[in-house]
Amino acid sequence: MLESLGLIGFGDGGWGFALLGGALVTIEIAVASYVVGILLGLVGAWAKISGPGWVKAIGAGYTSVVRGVPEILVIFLIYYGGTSAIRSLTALIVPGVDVQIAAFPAAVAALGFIAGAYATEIFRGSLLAIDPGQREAGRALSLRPYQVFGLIVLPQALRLAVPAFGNLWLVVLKDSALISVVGIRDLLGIGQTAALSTRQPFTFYTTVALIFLLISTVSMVAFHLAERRLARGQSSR
Amino acid sequence: MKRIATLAASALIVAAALLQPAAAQDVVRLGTTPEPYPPFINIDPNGKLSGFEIELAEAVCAEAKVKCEWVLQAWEGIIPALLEKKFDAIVASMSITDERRQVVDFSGKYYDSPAMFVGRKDQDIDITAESLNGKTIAVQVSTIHANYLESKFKDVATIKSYDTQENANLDLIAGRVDLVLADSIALEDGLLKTADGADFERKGDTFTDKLMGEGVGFAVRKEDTALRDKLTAAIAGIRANGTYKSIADKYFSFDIYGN
Repeated sequence: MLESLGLIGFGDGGWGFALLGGALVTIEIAVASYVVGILLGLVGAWAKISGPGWVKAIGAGYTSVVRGVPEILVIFLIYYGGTSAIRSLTALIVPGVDVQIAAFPAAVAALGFIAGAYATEIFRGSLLAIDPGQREAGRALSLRPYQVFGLIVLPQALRLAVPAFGNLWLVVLKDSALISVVGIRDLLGIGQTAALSTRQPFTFYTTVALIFLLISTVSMVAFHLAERRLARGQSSR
Repeated sequence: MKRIATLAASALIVAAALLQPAAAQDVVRLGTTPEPYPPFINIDPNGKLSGFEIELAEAVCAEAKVKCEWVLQAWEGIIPALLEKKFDAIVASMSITDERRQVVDFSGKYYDSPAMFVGRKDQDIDITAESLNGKTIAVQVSTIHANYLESKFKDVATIKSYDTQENANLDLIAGRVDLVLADSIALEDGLLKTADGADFERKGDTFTDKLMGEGVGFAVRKEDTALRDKLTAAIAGIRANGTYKSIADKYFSFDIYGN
């Protein structure tokens, strides 16, 4: 038992600092992918609600393909397939130049692309839930369309969307562990190496699980506070 | 219009930040696994690599006068990552086989860990067709060792296949089979050096055979023939100047290079 504590500790030969470094990488990847996912979600929701027909079709295709295919497969497709596509493209434009995509942006692109599909549906659902009368009222006040969207529809839709976005954050956080298959030294990747090096899988996988739990608990509290703040002025139902 | 130009410009800046130019030709990136494979590959909490294969590859780089960098990549995706130019050569105890040759090219081998039979100490067995007659031999399924047994001893001995080496070893300990055949280093570390292995010993000499692959080499992309030849020449170089032997002697009591 004491021996195990030494292994996950911060002393000589302890994996403590390595695990903390891995946790930081996990948080960085999750936050970056989440932001990318939300931006994609906004575009996707716009496409599916008010885009022209062919844009609507692309939006529908995006959400059904991504949500219908295992996430690990999307990661492989983007990490291996996507990078070679970009390489061929740049080789066409600037012959003789060979570019590499670093593992981190490729991972964020893959996870963000997945999160974007879910975010699209969240935005779409909450935007559609806003009573059309609200837009009409905005137009009656002769607000411009972007003002109607930004000042009236979006603030109300966000309030509806926050619980679902809290959920999506947890999903993205956990999905980030998939990225260790492409060689990124995230929390799970470090934990795996440590477990195999020390032949103490239980010790390390439990530690990794506890760190994930700590991160998710803290973020759930944060989302709860955000929900309360956004709901201020609403009567509690 | 101006806004579109601004957008395009910022997209370009972002793209430039994300895309890094491919490494210059004199830096060779070596891909290895973050999963340890002692005594060939070990990794410490600071991410520092060590082990026979790591030291050897660094010696090969020094001999070839190229600067080498390590890149970690899980075993499952290591060949696709090589083909996608995430690194330039695989250093991960990858056996040279014809199947892999269809997608990658190999340098000359840099080690060839021999196989060995292990049996009970109190049982007198030679590794000959006569002595093996009627015996039962355990082996891990679809390995180079299973192929070897099938073609050499199928008619005289009973061959039992197991999904993992661990299960083959367990049946040997339980007395259900007379011998196991596997990689000598795997058997040394996984059986003979453990408490359960006290009653067991190597039967006959460690050996290699054409049927069991051609050893372990650097895997490179097929078009990188110059790198392949450079690595092959450097392996021959450190074999000749004694560097190879001084590294190997730190890890093994026998000749790991094989024949």
